[in-house]
Amino acid sequence: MGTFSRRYQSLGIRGRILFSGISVIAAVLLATVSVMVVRSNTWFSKAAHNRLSTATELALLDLDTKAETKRKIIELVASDDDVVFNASVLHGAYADLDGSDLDESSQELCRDLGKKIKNASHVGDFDLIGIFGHKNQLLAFFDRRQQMTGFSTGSRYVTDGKSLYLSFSELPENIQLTLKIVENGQSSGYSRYGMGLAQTIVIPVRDVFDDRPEKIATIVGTTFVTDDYANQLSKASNTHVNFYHGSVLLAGEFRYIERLSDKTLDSLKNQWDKQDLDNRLSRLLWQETTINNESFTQALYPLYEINGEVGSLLVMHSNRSDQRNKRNTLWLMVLTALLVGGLGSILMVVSANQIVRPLKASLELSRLMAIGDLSSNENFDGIGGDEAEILRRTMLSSVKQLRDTLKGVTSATTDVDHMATALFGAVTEEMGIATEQASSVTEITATIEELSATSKQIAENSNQVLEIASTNLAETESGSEIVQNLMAKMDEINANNEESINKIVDLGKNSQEITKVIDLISGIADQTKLIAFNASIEASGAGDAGRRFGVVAMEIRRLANNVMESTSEIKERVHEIQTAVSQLVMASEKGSNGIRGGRDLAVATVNTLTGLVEDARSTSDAARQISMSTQQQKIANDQVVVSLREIAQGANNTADSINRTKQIANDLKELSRKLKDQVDRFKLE
Amino acid sequence: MKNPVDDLRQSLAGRPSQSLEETKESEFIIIRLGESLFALPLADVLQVVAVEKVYPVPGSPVHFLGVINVRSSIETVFNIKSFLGLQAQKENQTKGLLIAVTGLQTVMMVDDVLDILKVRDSDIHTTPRAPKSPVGRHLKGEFSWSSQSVMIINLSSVFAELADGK
Repeated sequence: MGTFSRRYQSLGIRGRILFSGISVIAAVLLATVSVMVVRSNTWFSKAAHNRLSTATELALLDLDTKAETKRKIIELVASDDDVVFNASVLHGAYADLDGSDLDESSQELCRDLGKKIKNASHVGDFDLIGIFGHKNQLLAFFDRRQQMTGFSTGSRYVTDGKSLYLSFSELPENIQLTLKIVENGQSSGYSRYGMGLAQTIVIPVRDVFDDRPEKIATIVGTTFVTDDYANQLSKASNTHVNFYHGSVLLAGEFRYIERLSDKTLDSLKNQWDKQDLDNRLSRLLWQETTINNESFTQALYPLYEINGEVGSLLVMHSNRSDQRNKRNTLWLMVLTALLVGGLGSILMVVSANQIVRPLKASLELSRLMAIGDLSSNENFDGIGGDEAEILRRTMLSSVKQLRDTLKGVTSATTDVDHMATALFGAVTEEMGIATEQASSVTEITATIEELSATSKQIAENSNQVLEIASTNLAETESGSEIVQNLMAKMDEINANNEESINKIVDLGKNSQEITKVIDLISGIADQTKLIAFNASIEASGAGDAGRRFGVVAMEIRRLANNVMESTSEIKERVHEIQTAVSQLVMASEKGSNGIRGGRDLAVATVNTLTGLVEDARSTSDAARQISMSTQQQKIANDQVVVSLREIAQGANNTADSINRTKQIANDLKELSRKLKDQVDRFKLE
Repeated sequence: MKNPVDDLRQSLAGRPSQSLEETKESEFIIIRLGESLFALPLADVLQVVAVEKVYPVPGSPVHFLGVINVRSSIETVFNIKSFLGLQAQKENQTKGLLIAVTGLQTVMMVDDVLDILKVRDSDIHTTPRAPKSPVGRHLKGEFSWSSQSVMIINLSSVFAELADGK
């Protein structure tokens, strides 16, 4: 794009304006031509015309060679995809062509054609719902759901098993409906017309019975048409009317169609010479027509002597592909015109931009220079370009020269200023440091003197610490010995306690032995009592003689009772002793544990005291070391104080010299500032 | 524990106006069956027996536990507690009384033998008969002993019932 732009620019201002103008004019011319071409139909209808003419010529070839003619027509119809099948015609043709007088290939074609027709579910490329009228009265309505195969006069419809053959004729004076109803192969009735046949095609009306169908065209097939008749028919039907020579073959029911007899044909031939007849026929045989807003080319093929009858074949040719071509061509032309026109406009805009931009830039540069602004940094390299561009580059070059010079001066001034400022800063800083140094030295001297006094104090204190540490060591050692003695005593107590516990347990065991003896005594007492009872009984049995014995027995019984009471009491006491022993054993165990804990504590104390002795010894050594060190430090401090006093004198002398240097730096800085003010009047960046 | 014989002596000593010859007395042996105290006429008791092991005899009547040897003589063992319906607490009985009434002789098992004493007839109160309970059916009277009530068992009616085989 950039290359193209540069080349285009090299044409110069005049050249570019000329080029753009020519482009726009070419676009306008192209658009005009395309509209004119599209408006004329010549290009598009010619192909259809040729095709139908050929068909017509074929049909007229030889009136006597029936089979050959028919075969050619069939071939034509079968091969041409643009032919809209008029179902009625083809149905008729098929029905008529039983194949008896055809060769094998023609028979095959007929069968194929028959299938094609049978499969056709509509007439032409548009769906029709047939409405037949008599003086615009609705007579019958068929929609596709009732297996209607198409709308056409003489077509065969099958509804609920009934075959219905319908033909509708319309004449100025006398409109007739030809209707044949066939039920179970028997004709139940029909009507017919006189001079010709008119077929009315109506706009599809779906599901609205009340609306009248709109008639859009009338096709009339007739053997003879006068101008008066044509006019009358046109007015009557209020539509465009197509006339065809001969009877229009519209249905398989050929016998209902007006036939062109040999006699009539002969009379026609006599009436018109051969040349005239051909001209008339060819004029009548094809025609452009519009049905339902769609353009068709329709042609009549007059068929002479089919089955000894004269008929005609109506072929309608859809102009859809022609119209499509026409539309496509129109779109192509319009697009081309838009493209060329657009290109021309773009070129004009580009030209204007290329001229105006450098001029504007030059103007802006002049304005900036006037106010001292030299900061423009645009690139002025490159070659070629038009006059305005060269002007802009020259100006840019001048600005750059001037800017470079001023930049050098500015840079030098800035450097001087920076140096002066730096020098001033450094001197100021140095002066501060010198002053600070002098005061610091004084301060340090005072601090060191103070430190010297403190050192003396520390030396005295460390001597005292040394004495205390020695005393502490002696005391700790004696404490350790005492605790070790205590531990030995506790071991002795523990041993005694263990022995006591063992003895108490033995006591418990012995008391259990006592219980056994008591039980034995109790048993003996019980037996004694029993014997005493028997003695009493015997004494009682003896009467007065046994009275004294009875008293003795009673005494024995009392004694036995006493023994039993006593044993019971002893048993209680022994039980109490046993309980007490158990409690004593438990208490002794607890005491033993306490003694053991005390001993452990004593061991821990001995260990701690041993550690303490070590620590006290270390403390004593350290205190001695500190005492010696502080003495040495005191002497060193005194020497430092003398040296520092000499340093303080030197620092004061340095501060005076620096102060004089600072004054000179300040003068230099003022000078550089004045120079910079002069240069800053120009803007360079 | 107080000696019941001493008590009796003291009670007798507290009645100076009545001599032993003037008052009609009966001798009883006091036994314990469960919680209750009962008395039997001493005249019906031949001996206090220490019972160690009872030999069961198959086919014995309901309240007879078996037989034992009492001084080379085989005697039946009678469970007076079950007979009187006092089976609430079962004790290990080691004593029995050899009893002879109306020609029948048996060892009656008791929980304990407490005392032998004389009771004046005037101190014995008749107990109201309660024929439906086994105890009530066989009581002859009641007296007080060391502030407890002692019931006198009518051995004749007991053995009459046993003889009837009820």
